[in-house]
Order: sequence, then structure tokens, then C-alpha cells
Amino acid sequence: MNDSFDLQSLSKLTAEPVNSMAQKAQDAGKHLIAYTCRFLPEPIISTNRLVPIFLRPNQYISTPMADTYLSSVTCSYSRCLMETALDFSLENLDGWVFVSSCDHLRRVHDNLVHSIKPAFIHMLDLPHKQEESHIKWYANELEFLSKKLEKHFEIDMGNTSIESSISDYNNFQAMLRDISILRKQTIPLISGYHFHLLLMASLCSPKHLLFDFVKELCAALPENDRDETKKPRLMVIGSRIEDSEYIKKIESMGAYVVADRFCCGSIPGLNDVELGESDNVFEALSRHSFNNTSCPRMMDEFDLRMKIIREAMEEYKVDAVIVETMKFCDIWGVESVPLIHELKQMNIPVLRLEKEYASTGMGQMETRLQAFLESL
Amino acid sequence: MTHQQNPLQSINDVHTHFRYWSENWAKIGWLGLKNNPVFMLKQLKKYPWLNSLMKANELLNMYTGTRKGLYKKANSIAVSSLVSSIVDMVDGIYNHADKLILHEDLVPPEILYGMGLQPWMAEFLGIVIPFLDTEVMERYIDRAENEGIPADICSLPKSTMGLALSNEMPKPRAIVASNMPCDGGMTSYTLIQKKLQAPIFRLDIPYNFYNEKAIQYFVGELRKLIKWLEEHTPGKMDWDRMKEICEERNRMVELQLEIWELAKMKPSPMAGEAMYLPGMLYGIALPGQKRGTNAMKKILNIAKKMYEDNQSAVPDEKYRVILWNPPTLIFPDLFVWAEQKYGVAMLMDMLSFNRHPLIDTSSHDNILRGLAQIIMQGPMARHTRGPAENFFSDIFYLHEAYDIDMIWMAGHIGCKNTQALMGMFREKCRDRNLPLLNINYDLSDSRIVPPANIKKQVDEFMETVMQA
Repeated sequence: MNDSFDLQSLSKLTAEPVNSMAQKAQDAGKHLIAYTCRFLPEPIISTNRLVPIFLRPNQYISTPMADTYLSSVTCSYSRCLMETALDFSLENLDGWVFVSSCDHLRRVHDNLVHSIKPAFIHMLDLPHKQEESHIKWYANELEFLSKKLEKHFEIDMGNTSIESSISDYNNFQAMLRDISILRKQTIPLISGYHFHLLLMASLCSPKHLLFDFVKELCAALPENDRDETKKPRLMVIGSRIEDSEYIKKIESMGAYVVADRFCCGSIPGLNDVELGESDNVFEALSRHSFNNTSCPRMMDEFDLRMKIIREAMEEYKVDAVIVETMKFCDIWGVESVPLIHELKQMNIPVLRLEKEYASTGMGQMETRLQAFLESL
Repeated sequence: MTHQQNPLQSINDVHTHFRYWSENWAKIGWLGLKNNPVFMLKQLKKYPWLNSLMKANELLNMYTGTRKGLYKKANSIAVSSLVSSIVDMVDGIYNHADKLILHEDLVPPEILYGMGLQPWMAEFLGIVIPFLDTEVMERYIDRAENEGIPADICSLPKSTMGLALSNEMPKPRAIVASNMPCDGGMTSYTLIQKKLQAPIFRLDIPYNFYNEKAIQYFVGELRKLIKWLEEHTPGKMDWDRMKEICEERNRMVELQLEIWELAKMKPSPMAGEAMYLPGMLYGIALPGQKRGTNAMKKILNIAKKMYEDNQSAVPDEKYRVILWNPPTLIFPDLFVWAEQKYGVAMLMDMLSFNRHPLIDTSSHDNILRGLAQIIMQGPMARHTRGPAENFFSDIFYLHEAYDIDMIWMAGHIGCKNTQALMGMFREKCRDRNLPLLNINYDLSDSRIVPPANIKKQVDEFMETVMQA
């Protein structure tokens, strides 16, 4: 992609946990609601004067204060998050919404309640299965959250408001999808790095302020100068890859990252919220949460996760896979074993990389990547 | 396994020891004879862990060698009961293979009993073998790590996965698991199921489970489980049998509550393994068994007699302790040692301490309702799921109720869930002026922290904090 297309502004937006656009929105009377898991459907915290801020505390490499509370054996995302909060870098947030996604994040919630005592903090009880009864359970949870938000922030969280928020969300998702498919071309029209940067910026910025930028980007990209070199096409699978430099490093070794099957990636992740005729708005959001994520914390879905990976590999013409696991993440640590086994059974070249949340140890990773890419 | 020194014993003590020692060997021998000795010898090759289980009677020496009188007898009953249960579980592999259901440790097997199925707790070997043969379990931990399971995952699921990967897990008809007690344990079942190629049903326990909505939700999960088991196994629900299992459980719990009441006395007439082994065994692993009720009744009678005679379990009770987190599997006689060295009486532990209601057996619905509460709100289940309040409220209740001098936290390095509470734990204990010993170790892997180092940690704490 042509760097002249104001790419620098995206980098700036992803450099801080609470960026300048978020500050601008807050100055204009919006309430910044922090969240940490993609199972939370964004429209519910985009309604009315609420602005969702996905927290990416990857500016911290050492976490001495957080280690005191969380110990050094919890994942580095949790510790970075706690460190950021204890360092008063998140003071200007108006609220926090957690999802009972994993042990480590649940304990961050407990420790925040104990140490920071935010004025608004809520834990959503997310089931580990996705049959009808579980979808209904989560819908009730979302409804309860909306009432709590309504009361605390004195805003209207009625159906009409939430539906309007869903409509805005869907419009934004559609633009991201249009850009995402450009990676399917033989020579991708957008690099994995730039696409990742865009996704991260859109998660941590108020979407209404980013909308025009993304719209222009959509129009400009097909005309973009492209790198015509033929390179291996990679899919990256894993947990929290929220530092675009990580993707940039992989691509700098001579590959395209064409498919992103991780927490904040697009496979899945760019679906619309579908308001079915029989659904109430919360059931639609609940259903969307399950359809828009593919996380090993869901107990019965290993085969479904494999199916999503197989289909994406075909669609994006993937040559090889990198499975990333974050150190101390129990869920991905175990999941990666049967996952890699199945990929190998399919004769797909796989490289497993363990990393900390913030991109450290890049030199070591470079050596392993080089060897892997040479073997393809 | 470490053994404490054997002090001089009275004739009665020698008789008690010999009686239970011979009874235990008779049970182990019966297992071999019943299933054909030649066949069982071949099984030692198929399941090498059987060699370790055959050492079960060594627990008798470990837990009763230095204890005397009625307290020795109570601990002998606890060990004998454990040996009987081990024998029955192994026997079930051979005599009810077609009905064998692998279940996760925090999914109690009442429903399986009610359906005429044979439970095999998946984590059973991972819990029992380190007690008997620490190094043997480390082989399975290595097997899991060699397959790619990260070393930082809890060593209990690693042991269980290692057994499955080594083809040493009995092949079940079906698997029943859940999202308890932790993410490592929950996700391990993906690998176990793939390896064992058996159908699996997983129960989903909500985050907040102390409310009517959660109870109804989980009753729904249990109904789906029963239906699923009827479709995938030869089991059929027999509600009369189910009712009897639950009533037997209730009888056992009522006796246990009486023991707990007596343990509040100063000095306590009961402590140590006689408190926690039957609790773990019949409260979690094998509830609803007459054997459990009988063992509990015998221990209660001993506790009553000791109380009436103004005898304390630990001869010179100086410190009253609760143990939090599962007991130190790689150092099972920690409290035998601590009793002797410091006069420490361990009165309650996390895995024994239930706040379960008795099960109302007046209707099928009520039975399921009671079971739903027992499973969701069970020990460890409620401490590792849900908000931190679940973890702390029990500890500080026990502090008051048992007039505790200090808490010993078995700080298993692989239990990230509880490690992430240690900062808060320290602050809360400091606020209450309650000494907290955090034992750094690994539950099943003695290579991380050997028992000698655990002793050193205790010594340092007792000397510097308790001024012992």
C-alpha cells in the first residue's frame, strides 16, 4: 500500500490505550467504555453516548505492580492491562465491561474491583456452549447490562437506540469486509500489516470519527500500487495479536499474511449483527457474539473452529500456517496441540510461535521464521 | 513419599496397625484373585500405574505410623476407606467396562450411579499416584509436555492428558466434563476426547451461580446430560436408585457436619487426614456410597469419644490451621510432619469444605435442583469460578468459626487462577492480622519444588512469623 495514504495517522491511533480520537469523543460528551474481549457485542456499548474502547495495553513490557497482584504466571495481556490501570493510564475511562472469557481476565476484573474500584464495572456471564439455551442466557445478560448502563449513564438504551447502533456497526463492518477481501487476490491489494493496523485502529477509536477515513481508504485501495513479488501466503492463528509490528515482522521476512484467525482478526470478526424477525435485539446481539468469534474457550466447538480454518485457508489460498500462543495462556496452550496435529494431518506446513503480549524477542522469532519460510 | 519417625507404640496401636494393614492387603489381594491373577499380572504391563496403586497400603504407615490411640485409628479408617475405593474403581474397569464413564473430577458421579453406569474419575490417577509414587506421575507430565502442552499448565490436567497420550487411560464408553475447575482443565478434554475417541458431554456452569436463574439453567444442563447418556450409553435413569444415592449422601453429610462441629472445640478432637481424606473421597469422588457413611460414622464416634475424654487429636495442639487449595500431593504427609514438629492441627481444607444443602429427594425436580447446587457450588468449583468473593468468604468464615491461628495456602504454581488472587489475599489477611503462609510448589511435580524445600518454607514461616 502507498504509505502516503495517511497511514501514519493509523499508527498514532494504535500507539496509546486511549487515543486522541477517543479523547476527542469524550470531550464532546461521550462516555468511553473499555472492553477486553470480542465476545462483547460492540453495538451495546456504542449506543447513544457510549463509545467502545478495546483495550490494547501493549506499551508495557515489564509489569512489576501487576505481578504483585496477579503473580508472574498469568498471561502478559492480563498483567499489562493491570499495570496500565495501576499506572493511572486508564483513569479517564468512564466504565469497564468484562466478559467471563477466561480465568486470567476474570481475575483482572476481581483485582480492579479490589484496587481501582472503577465507578462502572460489569462482568458479563458468557456460557461455554452455544445452543439455544445458552444464546438466550447471554441475551439476558446483555439486557441486564443495557439496563445498568442506562441507569448509570442516564442514557436511552431502548430498542430503537440499540438498533440504530447496530445499523452503524453493520455499515462499518461492511467497509472492513470490502477491504478484507482484497487480501484474497493473488497479489494482495493490502498487506497483512496494514490491514491489521486498520482493524486495531477501528477497535480502539470511536467509529463515527473513523468512518470517513475508512470510506476513503476503501475507494483508494483498488488503485493502490502493489508489490508484485510472489511470496508465500500465510494464515496466522492464535490468541491476542494486537501489535501490528508482529505482523509486519512476519511479512518483512518475505511472506504475505493474508488470513488472520486470532482474537481481533477478521476470521470471523467482520460479520453483521442480523436482526431476525423473531429475535429480540438482545438475542440478535447474543447470536452475533457467538458467530463473530472463534475462541477455544468454547467447549464443544473444536471441529467448528477447524472448519472455519479449513474454509478460510481455501478462500485465502493459504500456503502455510503460523500458530501463535501467548505464554501462560492455558486455553490456547492446550488448543494448539490438537490444532497443530490436525493441520499436520492435512499436510499443511505449520510453525508454532510462543510470544508475550507485547512484541518482544523479535530477533529469535526472525530466525525461526526465516527457517520456516525457507522450508516452504 | 517421606515417612516420619515411628515412635514407640502401645499394644493397642500395634493391633490397630496390624488390623488395618492386613485388611488393606486382603482387599488388594482380592482384586487380583477375582480378576484372575495371570490376567492382572498382564495388566500391570498395560497399565503400569497399577504398580503404584498396589502401594496404597503404604499410606497406612505414612499417616498412622507416628500417631497414637484413637487418632491413629481414625486415620487408619480414612486410609482403609481409600484403599477400598481404589480397589473398587480398578475392579470397575474390568467388570463394568461396557458402562465405564470417564468423568471430570468436579462433576460428581451421582447421576452416573443413578443410571447404573460405572464412573471413572479422569483425574483420579493424577491425584492418587503422586501420593504413592511421585516420580511415576512425572513421566506422564513429561509425556504431555513432549506433545506440546506448555509446561506452565497445571500439572493435574497435564498428568491426565499424559495418561491418555500414553494409551494408559481405560477406554470409556463416554466422557462427561465441564468448564470446571479452570481453563487448563476444561480445555484438556478436547485433547483427551480426541485421543480416546469417545463421545463427550460437557456441562456449562455459569459465572454467577448463587441465584435461582443459574440453578434453573444448570438443572437444564443436567436434564440434557441424562438424555444424552441414555442415547450414548447403556445407562437408564432409575429415579428410585438415584433417590437412594442422594439420601445416602445426605446421611454422610450429616455425620460430616457433626465432625466439623466437634473440630471447632479447643483443642480439636479430630484433625489431619481423618478430616480431609474422607471429605475428598465421599464428598467429591464417590458420593452416595454406604462405605462413605460408615467411615464417617466411625470417625465421628472416635471424635465424640475423644471429646468426652478431653483428648486432642494432635497431642500438643499449639496452632490451628486451615489448608487452602488442594493438599500437597507431592508431600502428602506434610501435616503428619507439622503436627510433630510444631503442634499444628489442620482442621479444615478447601476440598472438604462444602456449603451444600442436603438434597431434597421428594421429587425428581428437587433431586436435580439439589445436585445442580452441589455441582455448581462445590468446593474448588465455587472457589475457582465466579468472583473472588467466593474464594475469600469461605476462608474468613473458617477463620472465625474454627478460631484459626494461620492459613496455609498450598500455592500450586500451575494454578494461575488462585495465583492471581495472592496479592489480594495477602492484603486481606494483613487487614485481619491473620498470618498467611504461601507454600510455593507444584501440585504433582516434585522436581519444581521438592518436599524438603516445602519443609524449609514452613520452618522459615514458623520461626519468623509465628515465633515458634
